[in-house]
Amino acid sequence: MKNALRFLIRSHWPVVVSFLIYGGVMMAYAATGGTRSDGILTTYYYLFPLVPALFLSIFQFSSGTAYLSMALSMGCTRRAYFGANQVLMVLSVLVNWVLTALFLFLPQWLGWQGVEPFMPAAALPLLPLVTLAVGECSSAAGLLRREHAVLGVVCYGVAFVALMCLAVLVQVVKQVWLWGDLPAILLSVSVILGVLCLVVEVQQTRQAVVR
Amino acid sequence: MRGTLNEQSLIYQQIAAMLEDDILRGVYREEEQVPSTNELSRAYNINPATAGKGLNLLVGEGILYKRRGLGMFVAPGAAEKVKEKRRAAFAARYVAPMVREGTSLGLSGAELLELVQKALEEGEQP
Amino acid sequence: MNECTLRAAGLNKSYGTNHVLRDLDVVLEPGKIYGLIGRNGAGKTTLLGCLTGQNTFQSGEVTCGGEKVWENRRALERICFSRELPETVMGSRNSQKIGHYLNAAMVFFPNWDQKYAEALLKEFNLDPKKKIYALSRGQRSMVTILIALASKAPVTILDEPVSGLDVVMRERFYQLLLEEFSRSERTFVVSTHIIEEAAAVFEEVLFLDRGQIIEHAPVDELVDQFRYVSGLAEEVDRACTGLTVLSTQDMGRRRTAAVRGGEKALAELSSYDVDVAPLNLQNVFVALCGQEHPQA
Repeated sequence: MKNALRFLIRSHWPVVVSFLIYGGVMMAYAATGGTRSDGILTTYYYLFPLVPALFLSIFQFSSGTAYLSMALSMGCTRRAYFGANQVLMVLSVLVNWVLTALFLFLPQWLGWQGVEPFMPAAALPLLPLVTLAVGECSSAAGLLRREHAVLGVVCYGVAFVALMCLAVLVQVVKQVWLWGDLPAILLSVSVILGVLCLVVEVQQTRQAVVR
Repeated sequence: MRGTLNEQSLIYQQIAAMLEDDILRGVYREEEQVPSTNELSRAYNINPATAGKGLNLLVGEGILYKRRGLGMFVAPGAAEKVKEKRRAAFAARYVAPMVREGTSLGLSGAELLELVQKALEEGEQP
Repeated sequence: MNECTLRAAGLNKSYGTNHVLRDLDVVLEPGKIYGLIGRNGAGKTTLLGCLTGQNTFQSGEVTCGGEKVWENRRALERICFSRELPETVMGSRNSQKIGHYLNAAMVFFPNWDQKYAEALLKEFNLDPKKKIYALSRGQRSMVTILIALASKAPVTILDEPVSGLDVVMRERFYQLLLEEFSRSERTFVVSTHIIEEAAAVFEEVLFLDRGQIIEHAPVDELVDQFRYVSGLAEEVDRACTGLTVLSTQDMGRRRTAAVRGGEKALAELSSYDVDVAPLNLQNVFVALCGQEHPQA
């Protein structure tokens, strides 16, 4: 799997780096008080928790088409590719999670005035699992697309559903008393979707041919 | 460059024939090294195994011999052997077809011999 | 040390109802240059994909050096299957850079020779920063050739490497191939349908027709079994008894027959009043596989 890791890491690290840049820009914006007003970037600021999932989703969807074929055509085994992709996906989710936490608490630590946290801290523990679920669904979508264009799009819709679960979850988790079981439901739904898509990924990779 | 190779006979046979011609012309003298399979392969853009087959053909006939680790060399008396080989093939290669062609054109034995005589005389004139 | 004999036994591959490869057997011994020849649509790429673990198949076994090839890293590391780079990927243009392919090759092929790759880049005048969609067909072929040669894989397979190349570049390719072959003990398999100019480069040739390998032999041995026999139709027919007649063409009373036979049988042709001429590899292929229509 070593070679597959070396091959894929070249493409995975932009997901982390883009998020880092995004975070940097947002922090600068917050530091200069932009979030207090309804500035252009304010919406993007509050999208913080979704961004890693979004970047991951876009990357996984597109890499399923191009990179798998490239790797296979150079003698990479399907097992190795699948394993490497999973490992790197989990790693990037974790790294981005840590970064999210960092960006969340940074304003407080630096004592910036009036900067609202972009999400309740209570949502933090839920982030990696749901983000990963979005990633798995997008990866499955990319793989399906190689064989059945329509199924690929449908699966990407599923990924979108997982993304929406994430979006809502981040909002409602704080007010558990109000929403009751909803957070738990959203979490379960996204995890189930993620697992189902993981199975799809395994099945698709097993029989993948060079396109 | 493919250059002198044609489609009339198999490539390895042409390689062998070419080397024989060169031996007769003195391009390769006795005990001199002839081109290796790789050199022939490069020169004519052919597979080295094909070149090797041509060389081995000549080794089998005693025209070349192999020096281990060094390559193929022209055997002593090679020129004579080539001439002998061609003399033996001369009748089948030149005379029989000539006779066949002549007879099919309706020439008699005497007429054919006359033509041969004439050609000999012309050949002697400088 | 090249010990990788690439072998397929009982290979069957269908695309839906299209049974492309039927009970196909083939043995490719190490250290030779093979030509795989077949018409468009005969299944050359499919066969090569199955031999290299890149394509699935319904039944049969593919081994390299005795080990199964499918999903086997050790076997796959010894094989390089360089095929035409896709111009579009899933409908959109292929925006990978040449350099990206080369980096991937460097990662996956354990014997990759970077110096050789760079020398070829220079000779082919290719810019690693250029994207695939911006290349001409010939340039894409050159990238294919570069990867195949620089991979230094013990078994290297090139699928139609000369498509899109002009005649000068084609000659250069055969030259490069022979040079690299002479230097190493690599096995090369080249699939092509531009037969005659490549014929001298192959040691053995395989004809793929209707899902099977119908001929697998050293080039000169194969070609030497065939002759064109022409003359008066009745005389030609008489001369050809005892030989397999593959095709005949008549022009008035003149008949030309393409025949096949053993050394002795062919030698007897000289006793008849007919013209006898050899066939080249291309003629042989057309005589054997040119019978029905065409390209699927």
